[in-house]
Amino acid sequence: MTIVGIERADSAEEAIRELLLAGLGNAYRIATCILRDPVAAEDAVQEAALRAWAGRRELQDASRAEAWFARIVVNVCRAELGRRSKRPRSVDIEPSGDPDHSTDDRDEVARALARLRADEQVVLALRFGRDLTVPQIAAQTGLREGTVKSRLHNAQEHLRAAFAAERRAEEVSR
Amino acid sequence: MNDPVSDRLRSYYVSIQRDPPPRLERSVIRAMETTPQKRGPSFTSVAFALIVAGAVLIALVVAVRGLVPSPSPSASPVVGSSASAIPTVAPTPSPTPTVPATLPPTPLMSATPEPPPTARPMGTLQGTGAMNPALSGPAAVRLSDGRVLLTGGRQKNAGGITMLRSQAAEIYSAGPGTFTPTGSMNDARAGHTATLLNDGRVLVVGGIDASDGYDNLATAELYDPGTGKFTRTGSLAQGRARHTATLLDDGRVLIAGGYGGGTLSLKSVEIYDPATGKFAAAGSMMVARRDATATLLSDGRVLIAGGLDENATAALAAAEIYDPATGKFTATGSMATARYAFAAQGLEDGRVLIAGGTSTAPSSAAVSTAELYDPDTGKFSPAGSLSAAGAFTAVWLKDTRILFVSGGALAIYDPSTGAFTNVPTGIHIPEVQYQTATWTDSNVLLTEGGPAQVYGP
Repeated sequence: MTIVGIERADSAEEAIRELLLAGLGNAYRIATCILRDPVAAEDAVQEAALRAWAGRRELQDASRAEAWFARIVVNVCRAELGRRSKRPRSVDIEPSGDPDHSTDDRDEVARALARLRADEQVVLALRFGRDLTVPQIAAQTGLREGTVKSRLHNAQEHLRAAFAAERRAEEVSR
Repeated sequence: MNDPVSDRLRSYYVSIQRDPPPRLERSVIRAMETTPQKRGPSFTSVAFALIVAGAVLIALVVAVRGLVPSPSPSASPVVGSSASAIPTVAPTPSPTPTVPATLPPTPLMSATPEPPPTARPMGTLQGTGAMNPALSGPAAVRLSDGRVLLTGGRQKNAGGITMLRSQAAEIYSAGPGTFTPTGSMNDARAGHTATLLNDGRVLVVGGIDASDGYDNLATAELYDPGTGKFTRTGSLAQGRARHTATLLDDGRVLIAGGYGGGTLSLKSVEIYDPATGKFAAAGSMMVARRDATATLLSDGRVLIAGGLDENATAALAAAEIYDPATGKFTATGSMATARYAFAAQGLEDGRVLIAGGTSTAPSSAAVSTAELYDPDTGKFSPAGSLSAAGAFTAVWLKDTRILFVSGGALAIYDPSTGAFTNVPTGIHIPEVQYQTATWTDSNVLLTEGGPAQVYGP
């Protein structure tokens, strides 16, 4: 097997391939923050990588590959969150019935996040999990910056309410 | 934004972020190689990618091509690169697989470089037919006659993306080495369980559905090998996926934990009674868990170990025992290593061997250690390590030994020596979470949706 006459397109594809592989770590961390489940995050990143690879010819500028890939990851994760939200919330967020089980802060945050809309969970994960700026979140979600700001604000308000609901539920269970 | 809510969020996200497991990159590379291009594939592009990917990747492709003959290099430079991405291979069992000279030697277990003098043969691995349609992560179960039923999982769509949950079911026959379609399930599902009942039928339970949703199914179906058809049976009270299903000594099936929706793992347990065709609530485990294992002990009790915790934030070391006589769960000893998605297999002497899996602390990492659970003492003890860490599948070889499957490696645990020994395979075994290994009457079927292999002990 000799490498001769490599087409320009092949080199571009190879570059995309390497960029995708280099971006897996960031993609996995994004997916972990949004989905809060390492197994689901792994699935999501694999799906996103394959979607990106299958649609690689649609990418005009290889320098935008990382942001393009991250956006696909966010879309895949948001879709999964949206599907999760179809389930009745009352089943998902009941705290442990074990009166001796003290729920730690991490679990309380997880349950409170599960009460939010998928879009709100996404912007919170990107803002506070990945420490992205509003313009960066806008780039990775396809939203306008103003929409990102308002969604972040609403998400935090809803989260405060969810924390309060969590505390009430925990008091009732005790 | 330094209010308490922001601070709590930041702390929370820091606590759950991890490095990706090493298998992720390998899985993506492999999937890229089998994902069809939108336009005609270029031989040079694939050749370049193969060179850059390095010798291991070359070995992978060449080895698989040894199993899957392509019409011509220019037409199909990458295995499975046709539009359907389904290799069309005649069932093949060749005495020895085609192994290129460039294939690196399979690493041997460092702990046991030389097999003991009394060690039994390591057996061989060879290619066999390929699934059609290709199902990633099917639930595989041995039927009473030695054939293997594979159901559901995720099926590749026209674009080569393996995300669509499938209703398909196939039967693998070890004799001719062929996969043949059988009746379709009523529901498409992935992350479900399939359990052989004492009457020869197979109970298929739960999983993630295939609508554009990610809902967990509460439905269950029975497969009748006599008719080759699936029929609905009773429904779970709680939809679930990635749960455990264990055939109890009395013929009922214990369905424990699983993924319940949102990020929630379940504590609840249900029992299916084939006599009535219904599920009944059976209390709750002490700990919510998914991606755990449940192993029937020789005294009829069930050991449930590990998994991901309630909010999927941490792997569990805790284990518990279900006693069908009392219907109660009680705590038992904990594993030394918290892990999920690992392998557990009962030994003839009544102990349970646990190996591999994935940990979450301090970060996500494949686990190589093994532990033995002794029901008499209720404790776990170290049982050595495998050289190839990760998500493992285990299968009993019926000669007291246990075969463990991981990415690129097979290892055998021999209770008589208490040691693991790698099986030189010469064939790449994809490193995926969903590798299945199922004992037929003569060998072990290994498949994760692409070309399948059989291991003959």
